[in-house]
Amino acid sequence: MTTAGSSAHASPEGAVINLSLDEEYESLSLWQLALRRIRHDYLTLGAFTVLIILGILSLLAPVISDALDVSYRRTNMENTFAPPGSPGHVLGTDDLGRDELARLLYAGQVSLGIAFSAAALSLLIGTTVGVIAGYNQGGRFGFIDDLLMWFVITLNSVPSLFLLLIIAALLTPSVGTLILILALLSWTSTMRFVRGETLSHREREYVVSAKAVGAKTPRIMFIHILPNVFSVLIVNLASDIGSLILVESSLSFLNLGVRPPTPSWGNMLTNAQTFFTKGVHLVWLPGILIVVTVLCLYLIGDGLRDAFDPQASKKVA
Amino acid sequence: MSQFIFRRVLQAIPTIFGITILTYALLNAAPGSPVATLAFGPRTTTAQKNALAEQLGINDPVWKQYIRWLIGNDWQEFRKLDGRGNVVTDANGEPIMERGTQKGILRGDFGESFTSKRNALEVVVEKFPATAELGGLALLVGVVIGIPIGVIAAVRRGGLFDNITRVMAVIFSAVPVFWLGLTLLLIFGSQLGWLPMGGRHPSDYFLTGKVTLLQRIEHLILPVTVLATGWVAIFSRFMRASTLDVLSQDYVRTAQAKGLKYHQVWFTHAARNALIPIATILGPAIPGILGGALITETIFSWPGVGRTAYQAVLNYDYPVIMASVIFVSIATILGYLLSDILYALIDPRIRLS
Repeated sequence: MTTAGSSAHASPEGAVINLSLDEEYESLSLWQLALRRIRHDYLTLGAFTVLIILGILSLLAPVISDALDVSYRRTNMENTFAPPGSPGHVLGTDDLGRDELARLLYAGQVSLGIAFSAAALSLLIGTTVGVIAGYNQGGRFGFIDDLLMWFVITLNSVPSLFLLLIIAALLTPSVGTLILILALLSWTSTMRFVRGETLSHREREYVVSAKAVGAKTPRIMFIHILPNVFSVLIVNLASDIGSLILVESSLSFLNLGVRPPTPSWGNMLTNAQTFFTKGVHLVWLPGILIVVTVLCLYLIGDGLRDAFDPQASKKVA
Repeated sequence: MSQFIFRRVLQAIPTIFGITILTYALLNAAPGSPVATLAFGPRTTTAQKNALAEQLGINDPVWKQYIRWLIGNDWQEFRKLDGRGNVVTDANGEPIMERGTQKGILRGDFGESFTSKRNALEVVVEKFPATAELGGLALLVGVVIGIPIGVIAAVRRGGLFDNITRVMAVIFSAVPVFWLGLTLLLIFGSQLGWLPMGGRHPSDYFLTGKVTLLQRIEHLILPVTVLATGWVAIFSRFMRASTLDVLSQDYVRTAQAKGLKYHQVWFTHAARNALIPIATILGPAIPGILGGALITETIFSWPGVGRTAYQAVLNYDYPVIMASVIFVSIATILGYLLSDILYALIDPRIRLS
């Protein structure tokens, strides 16, 4: 960026160097700046590390259970409720004598997989519908926005747990349909946010100029506006995934989410009340894993928010 | 003001219709049939099942069922059935026809519960006192503990108390409600044996009909704790932000500058303004109580609206599901309206329009 003209009248050498450094710093992108800030945010980095470890361990579930010679589905009615540290079962066994460690790892695959996929799908739906609604608000196709907003307000007026309960109970979902259900019920907040952003973006110069050169409406919506709105949304993704893990585990706990024998951290707690006297570790372990995972995701979410928008965190802190 | 309320109530009507359509469509997309559950018995014949389905109106197209549910079926005639689902015939072998008995929800009739054969709305509404007792107390505890925490955290900003409470708030927001309830039950109910394992009354209540105040409080402690932790986190966070906001205002600095005592500055000048944003969470709190209470009520066997809805879902008891969804949704809409009105009453700068 430093032109010959601007460096020419900065005669002391130091000043020239400073100037060019400053300009180099200014030219960092939003992502580069965020990365730079996050590098010094040890809490967020720590949370990220823990989450990665959990994810890798879950993915390695088959390898680990083979190495320990245990299985998440092999029952053994002669060795039920074995406490942690028992021979052959590092974290003990459950009410059917299945290895608890192997079950926790497989459940991690299921719970993390569902939450991540549902969050991605909900982001996709929320942004697409939000941009369409926001861009058309008050225009020739304004009825699209009216209709969508009516639908969203209706959806938000029913406590989401009630809706989830009804859908999950009536459809007896598989893992795939559960992802779909969670996504279909959680896209509304993204949609409202994107709609609001689109309303402000469509009046800006870059959209006006795109219109002026004859860009078609879909191109303006998805090639011009969407990327500008999207970066703000990525920031919320981590905490959204955390909330989805909570929702999925509650549903599975109520026996309406992931169904046995497929393990999930939530459905491993379904019969927890009958474990109170026999195997307390079966109550503690899945719950602690849920809390640690969600906590990490929330901390990452906070860290990302600070990294992308340092002004916002200063206002709150 | 009254004009504002009138308009908001009018705006709520399409939303409520949307809710009824949504839930009705969902129920009808479901593969499970209530007849299967209802007429489950080895000796129930296909003819009996069909007659039962006809009487319940399940074989009609969806839109017809929906309209009948809205305006009732007392304008239609059905074959009369006996208690087991057999068609009752007259002397000539012709089936006796009788008029439907439902009036439809537009006339205040939510139909009969499939399982208990009682008015569906009644089944839900009679559980409301228990839910209100639990939810109201939890909200109260949340306000009483959360607001002082938020204020102290803001005043001692960056201090030890502030940091500890903020960390606690994040940790508690990551704890699933059901697991918190389970662990509390495990520790205080099972291992220490200090508190009952659930229910609203001691187990011999239904025989003796006697319950002391102490027993009632004992049964309330754990479920209220579970629900209140969420509120404490929310209220303390809101109160901290709004107190920080108020404390940096010019009029607070003026009050301090003219030499007022700290508590005077805080209570007579700042507190009233800092409390305003709290009104915005009280509205959404109502569905929060009912929705959050669904899990808490189930874990603690609390006989409330949430647990009733959960059981209705498990039993495919359509009328009760619909009645509870509409009940909770109207409570939600009213809650938001209430918080808007409250907001305007507390803050004269806001004009409702």
